[in-house]
Amino acid sequence: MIGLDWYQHSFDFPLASEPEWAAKVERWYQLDAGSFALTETFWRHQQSLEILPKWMLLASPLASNVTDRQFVASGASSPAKFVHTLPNIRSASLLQVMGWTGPVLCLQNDPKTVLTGISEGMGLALSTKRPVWVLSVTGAGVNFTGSIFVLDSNTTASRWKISKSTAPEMAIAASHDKDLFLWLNGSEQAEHSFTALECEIVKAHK
Amino acid sequence: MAWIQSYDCSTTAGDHSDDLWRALEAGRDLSEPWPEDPTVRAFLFKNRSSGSVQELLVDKLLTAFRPVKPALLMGESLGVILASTKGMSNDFIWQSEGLGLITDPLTPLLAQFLRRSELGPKRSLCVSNACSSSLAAMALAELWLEQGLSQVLILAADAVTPFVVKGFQALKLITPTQMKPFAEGRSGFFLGEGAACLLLSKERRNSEMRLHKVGLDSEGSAVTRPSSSGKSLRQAALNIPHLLELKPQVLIAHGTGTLINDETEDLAFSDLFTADPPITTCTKWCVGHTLAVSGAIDTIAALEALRRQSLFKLKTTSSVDPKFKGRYLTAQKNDYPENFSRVMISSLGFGGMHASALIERIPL
Repeated sequence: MIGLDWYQHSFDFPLASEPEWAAKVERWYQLDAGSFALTETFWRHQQSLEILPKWMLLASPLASNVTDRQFVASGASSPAKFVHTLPNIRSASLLQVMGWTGPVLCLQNDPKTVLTGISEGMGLALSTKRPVWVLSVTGAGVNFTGSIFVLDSNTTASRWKISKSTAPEMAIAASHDKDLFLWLNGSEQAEHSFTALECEIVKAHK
Repeated sequence: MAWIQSYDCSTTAGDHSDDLWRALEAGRDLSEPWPEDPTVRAFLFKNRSSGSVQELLVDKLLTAFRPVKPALLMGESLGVILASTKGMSNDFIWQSEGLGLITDPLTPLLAQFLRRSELGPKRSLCVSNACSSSLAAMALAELWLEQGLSQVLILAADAVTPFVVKGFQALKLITPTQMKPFAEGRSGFFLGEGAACLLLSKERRNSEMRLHKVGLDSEGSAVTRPSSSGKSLRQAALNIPHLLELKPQVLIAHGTGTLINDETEDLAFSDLFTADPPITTCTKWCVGHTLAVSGAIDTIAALEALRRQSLFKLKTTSSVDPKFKGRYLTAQKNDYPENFSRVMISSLGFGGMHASALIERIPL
């Protein structure tokens, strides 16, 4: 069983002011909402994210569809918009701000992209015995949320614990990303555990 | 570590890896005017279905899968990974805008392939690491095999669509003349279409081809270009255990023919292999830049080269950029390696995502 923590930040985009980390990112004003979300979420929670990961997994529902549509709507001629029309690009500004290099995988599996990222992250955290971060961006229009899930086999102080599930496969297949976020947001009152794909998440007893 | 049991690919050269090899050896120019804008040239599938991008890519994936299927062990645990950059996003964004808010553009492509191939994998997902997606998928396959799966099918597919053409035109990366990787006067690439299939397994069975390891590294450089030091690209290669002792005799470089890509690869690998640099070539001059598929096509080219003990040249490159230090197999050279058993493949992706793979031939 390994520890699971979740750090999130919700915001309106486009921004009303310059971010605190602007000096660390070349042409920060050209970032799309996805890139901004991950960088700002890290920046706001960096005190709690002191132990850097061995691996990062990017897992955002809808991939880069929002930015893709903006590129097309603006006439499909803006290089600054086109460079953000891939879901992996959003880690570039985050890595600049963190000063981190290492292996990153960008995964898609809608409507279970975040769950898939967490399930794969659990496997990696178990095999490497090192922290793994799963990074996600959700939202559309002007409201977005960045999420950083930390999976760490060495922590005893996490908010949740995650382990390989023993539930039947048919039951496991039913849950989607939205169910996970609903459960995490209300887990103090909700059922004790959430099961999806090959993992079971439980509230940690502190 | 994994064993490569079977593979095939569809490219502009034809629907099989034999066609790819013949085109690489012959050095034929297979590019043609892109129907949507004849001022742009592209490397397109020759036998095209007339439906959507999704139908085209699934058809081509099934074509590549057909010769691989007999090597699948039915009853053994299977994982399936699709590597793609844009998948069916052309259908989403340009024709049916509403779809783009329901799902990512890759998962329906994989689901359609699984339905039509009647495969029921234990695990399946999509990897989208830009132009290093295929090697990233192979790295994930290695992890899945370590975690207990018996076999993993890697699929890779991308098409030339208005979305990507207009985007790369905006970035001024499409050459107005001809692709000349590593040449002094290089000016970019033509886009290409591709679909590929590779079956990896934990057990050797009768395979002579081993994926020694895939090394990954990512850096926070500018979005569309690697850092000029080549440090992260070099680190991706060094994440392959014992790479320097194993000394690959051949390097199939990413070789996009852009100023920065080729310069970074030359710097990174000439620094890495100072004493005995591998003979370097690439495939994109022949089949175009197939984006997420390029790593899979380069892997298949490496497997064919190892199997045939033969190598293809950089046929459109007559003289290398004089700044470069690597050993390039240009059109004029006959510097073929003898009895080679190890080939390294390099991929660079937007967002600073780098990957290298080492393939070995180990006779039975």
